[in-house]
Amino acid sequence: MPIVAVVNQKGGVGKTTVTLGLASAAANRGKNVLVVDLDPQANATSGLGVWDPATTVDIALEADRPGSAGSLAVPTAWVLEGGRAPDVLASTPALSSREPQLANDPVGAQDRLQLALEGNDYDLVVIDCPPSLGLLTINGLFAADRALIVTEPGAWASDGVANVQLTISRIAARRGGRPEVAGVAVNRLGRTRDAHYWHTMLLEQYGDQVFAPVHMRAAVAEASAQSLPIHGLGTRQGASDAAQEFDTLLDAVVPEMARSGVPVSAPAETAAIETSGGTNGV
Amino acid sequence: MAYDPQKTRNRPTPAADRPAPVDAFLDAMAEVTVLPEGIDIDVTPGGDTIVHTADADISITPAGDDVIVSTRDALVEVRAELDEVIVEAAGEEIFIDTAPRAPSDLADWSNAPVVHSDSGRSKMTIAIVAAVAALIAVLVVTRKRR
Repeated sequence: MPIVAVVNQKGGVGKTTVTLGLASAAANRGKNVLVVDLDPQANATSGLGVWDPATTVDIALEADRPGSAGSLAVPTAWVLEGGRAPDVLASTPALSSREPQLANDPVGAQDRLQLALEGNDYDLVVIDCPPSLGLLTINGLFAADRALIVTEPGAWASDGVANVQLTISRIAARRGGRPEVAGVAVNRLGRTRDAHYWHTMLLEQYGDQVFAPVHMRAAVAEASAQSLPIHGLGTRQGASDAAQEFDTLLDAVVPEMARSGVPVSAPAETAAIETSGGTNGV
Repeated sequence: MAYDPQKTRNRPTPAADRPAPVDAFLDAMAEVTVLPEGIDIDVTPGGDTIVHTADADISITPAGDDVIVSTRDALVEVRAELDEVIVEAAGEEIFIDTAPRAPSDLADWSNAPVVHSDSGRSKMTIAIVAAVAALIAVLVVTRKRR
């Protein structure tokens, strides 16, 4: 079972958007998907249409019980025609107080999520990590077999890629190479010269680790606002293009789940980006 | 590329061998205590620590007192100043390092009412280890006699 940690210590780069996009792509293929929301802001939880969940990931982290995720996950409100709605191990703002408790746990608490996910029968688990380096993020990386670094084309976000790569490599060095860096997802690529510049910088620095980008589109923001999957947004302009980009990203990050006949290593795209114009087009 | 927002102030390439913040966490977690089957430990939001066993739940509060556990089969001697515990059982002496495991800066994460890595915390950790060590010793000796 692939377990993907969507991670960057830098905030605001779109980890939750990419998490939900991947979940939407996999669920749309009929896969049994679990989203784990490790961010106390709980945006992935609300993006899945779950409000005031009866059970949360906080309980799983506290319980220290193998396989607890299956019983604590709740169904989401997503509806996918021909697909299968994912489950979510939901978050709440109360999760923020769990982190210092985990840090002081006398027997170590870095593998609580890994323990909770043991033995579950999901086809794919996607973990939305918080935008900080703490025990919640470490739990996410300990549980994952691969990490997807999300960034946006900008100076500080690009700096964040190097930092999170370092974090992953240090954990992997102590964990027998796990998690592997699946690659870098460039999110919200706009049409400005600046976006093009930083996207090119990422391509030069990280080469074929950089996946085909997810472009900035109003449809993606609207899907979040309506707590709908991007694959379920119907005929809204840009929705099918965005859905296709997340399909391509899923193929690249989880090649064992790739659609037949589709190359799993999508080339990073630069040609379609306009280098003129001063505003971020949506 | 004509457009260059960095001008001449290009960002430095980070050194591959630079220290990583995550090291502090990983070092603190390097030695994970493995508890015997059936024994579990919880830290409550109020700072109390509860050792769950098959027979009883032992609550340890951060009062700061040293803890000595004496059973018929084992003697547990807590040396708070040295951050160590000595367990004598079945003719063996076992030394346990009870130095606080979390790096001191972790305590600054939050103002939530939780136990911090100060001396009281150290003593509580010692108390937990002592209680668990005594239980382990009793279990070991009991099994040997069977």
